[in-house]
Amino acid sequence: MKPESIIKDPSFDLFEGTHSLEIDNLKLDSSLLELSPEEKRFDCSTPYGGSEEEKLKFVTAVADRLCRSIMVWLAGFQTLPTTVLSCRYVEDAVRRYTDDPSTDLSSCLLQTGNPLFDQVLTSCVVGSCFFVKFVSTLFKAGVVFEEEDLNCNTMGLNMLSMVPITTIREHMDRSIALLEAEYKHADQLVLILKLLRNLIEFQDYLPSKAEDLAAPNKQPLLDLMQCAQKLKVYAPVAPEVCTGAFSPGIQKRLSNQFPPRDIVESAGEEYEAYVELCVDMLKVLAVTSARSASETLQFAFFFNRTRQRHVVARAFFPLYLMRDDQTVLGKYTFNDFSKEHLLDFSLCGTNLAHELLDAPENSALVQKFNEFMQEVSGILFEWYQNTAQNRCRYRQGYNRQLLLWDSLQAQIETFELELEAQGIKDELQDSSSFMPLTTWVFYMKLRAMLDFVLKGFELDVYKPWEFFSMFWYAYYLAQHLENCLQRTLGFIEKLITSIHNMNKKLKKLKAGEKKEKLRAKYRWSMENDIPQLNANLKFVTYSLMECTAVKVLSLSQVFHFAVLQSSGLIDSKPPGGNKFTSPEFIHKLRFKTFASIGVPELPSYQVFENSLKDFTIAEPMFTAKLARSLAFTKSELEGAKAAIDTIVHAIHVGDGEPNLSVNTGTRLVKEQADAHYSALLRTFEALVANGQSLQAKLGSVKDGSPAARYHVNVSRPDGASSYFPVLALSENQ
Amino acid sequence: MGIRYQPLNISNANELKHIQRLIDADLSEPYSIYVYRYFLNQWPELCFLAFSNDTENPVGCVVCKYETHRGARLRGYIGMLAVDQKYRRRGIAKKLVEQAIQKMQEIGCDEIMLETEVENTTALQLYEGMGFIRLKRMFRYYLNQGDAFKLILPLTERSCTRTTFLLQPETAFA
Repeated sequence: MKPESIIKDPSFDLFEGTHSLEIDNLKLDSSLLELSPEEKRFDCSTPYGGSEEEKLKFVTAVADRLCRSIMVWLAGFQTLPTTVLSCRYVEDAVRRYTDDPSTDLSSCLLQTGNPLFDQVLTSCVVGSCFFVKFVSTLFKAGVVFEEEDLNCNTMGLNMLSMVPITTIREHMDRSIALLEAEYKHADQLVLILKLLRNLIEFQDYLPSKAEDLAAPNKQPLLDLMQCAQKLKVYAPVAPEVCTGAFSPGIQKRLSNQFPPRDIVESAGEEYEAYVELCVDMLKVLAVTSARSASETLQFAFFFNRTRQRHVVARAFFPLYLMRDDQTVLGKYTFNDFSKEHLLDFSLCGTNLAHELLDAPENSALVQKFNEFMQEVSGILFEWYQNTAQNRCRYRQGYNRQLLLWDSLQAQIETFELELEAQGIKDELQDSSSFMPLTTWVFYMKLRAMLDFVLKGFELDVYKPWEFFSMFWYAYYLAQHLENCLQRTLGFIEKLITSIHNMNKKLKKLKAGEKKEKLRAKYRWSMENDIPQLNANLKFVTYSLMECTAVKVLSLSQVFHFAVLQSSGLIDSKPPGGNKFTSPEFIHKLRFKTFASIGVPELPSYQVFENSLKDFTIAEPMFTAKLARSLAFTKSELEGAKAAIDTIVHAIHVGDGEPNLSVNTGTRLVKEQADAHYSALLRTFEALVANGQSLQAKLGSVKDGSPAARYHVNVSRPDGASSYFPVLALSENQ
Repeated sequence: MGIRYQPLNISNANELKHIQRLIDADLSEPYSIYVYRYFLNQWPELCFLAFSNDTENPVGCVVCKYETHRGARLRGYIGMLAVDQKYRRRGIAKKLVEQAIQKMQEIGCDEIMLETEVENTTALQLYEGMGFIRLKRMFRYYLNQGDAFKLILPLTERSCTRTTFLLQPETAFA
């Protein structure tokens, strides 16, 4: 060994380093934890409390804190050893169970000789452990991320792995019956038991059997919510009532691979967190009512958007949607589900769709198409899974997905060109090629690109000097998306017209085989294609309105930046970044994600630079130009605001309303979609107001020194969209 | 009061203790001796100390490393930076970071990376003033529950190219 070299496995990197422990280091060695005398003396076989009343008070205090600790663990993103496993009764029970695992609870019952402990408290403990087991199952599915979303470190203890839910149910039911029959003042404890009794039922929401096709039983969630609402009136019991019953001691007594941590106390909000958990689980279960692929897509897009959902609901959603039996919600095969997405957007009524219907299953066309559907499924499911991630991972997920969408687009375009060579072709009004599959992939890719860019504003990833390039790029992407949607809309309108025209042709044709053939085709199209095409027309119209609004909002931000730049109040160059790097490198690093995307091509650095120059206002007639620029922005904003008003109206009225020109697909996420678009409406107002403010402050005289009087700050107006922070002016102090 | 900057003397055990003292006083993450040894023994040339004329012991330090990132580019990493409370607001941290970046640039790093807490505006101001940009935000990255930003300073064109494309045979990192 060379002097001063360190001993480590070649695969060890910094991650292992930062997770390494150190003996005799107070911050890193949990064997050095100092326990209080009460903690050391605590004995799980003693029925604490002198009188029965005191025993009830003690057991209630432990049960309340244990119940709260589950939400401290999950909603507070804490570890198991500092929450649930810090309960001495939990530690005692699962240690004994780990030593002697069985299908019953014989090895983990408390044995104090008092039924409040041996029956009731045991129920609370095993109910809690059973729920931990359920959460561990979700965790192992790998949907959410270790540590940042969920810590399932059970310290090697067996969380009742072999005990069936029926055994736990029966035990808990006996405890509830005992309390109701023999303890008059145990209302709070009964509620806690009932809450936990409903909590164990979560396991049954995990789809695993054929009968899971049945609508989920929501009653346990509703009952749990009711219990939690009632328990909210009780303040957390003072810790001294059950001193020693909660302790960090498990970290000292068992093998611990983590640094010692204090146990986490209740913040008092835990029962509210239970209510939120139930609300979020109910929302996830609602996806089962989706009537179409576009409704499922919109559900996923909105359900976790305006508020990050409870981690259990987020982990549960993809598993509930995309099941182990290779179905979506037990209703569709993966391939059929993907095909539904295409039919709901651009494939319906096309020659390709009709050829696919007519071709035999073993034909080259169907086989090749199915191969592509498998590819689509892989990426589409990644998209779905991403919608359930925490707010930061959500953006990162897109970073990876964009390459996949881009690669799929290139492949599927080649496939469609091959089909065209074989005569399977769909044309737009101007006879140009439509390519329904490529169009959908391009739509999904552009949506993901735009969301990736705008999410960066919400996460505060961009500094104000970057606002121009990011909003200009968002505007550029929105333009491409707008074109894609307009093409699609035009194509759908053409199809609808051509079907209706069949009827006119029929009237002109003489009776005969030709007429009968056309009549059959017309009837088939009216029955099968027209309803879907009409729905698609409305969905694409809605998508177009939304896209136009995003485009105008982005453009307005570009204008406002340019006005500020023209007045010398902001620059699009990084401050002081020239010693080790260059503005061009920094720009290229920022746009690295997009540099490899084939279509739309990333404009060069020079194009970004030039476009800012184009927007910049200069003398002569600065004031007049400024007024014109801001007036233009205002009128664009007002026009786009009307589109969002239409969308909000459609959300309120509901998608089933036949008179509506749009279909938002948000029936199952009305509240969330409404919040999202209402925030956009407030952003329109905020940008109009900001434009007026800029004009008032900078428009009257351009004396060359606005920087002496004002500075730029990032403002996030109340209730406005987090995707569009506003660059506002504040007076210098 | 003059401040001098010098690289770590790995043979001087006292210097390691002082680095631990400076870092432990400030950072929310508890680091084991392994972490310090991991950095200092492998990349001693990327640890710089700041000494003040009025005291014998170092008053600031920066600890870095560099490695090939995903087989595609050479990435420098600023692992720890700390300045004694009494010696702050004198540009010591900036100077230490500049020395480290300069060294990593000489070594041939394509980029420098680090993480910092979203709430640590002082650190963000320091690094962003040097050209670092926020590449991504990481949810609950630190033990104190706070989010972090991953910051990168691009030094060469390779930093601006996706790894997938750098790994293609004709461009793979030698």
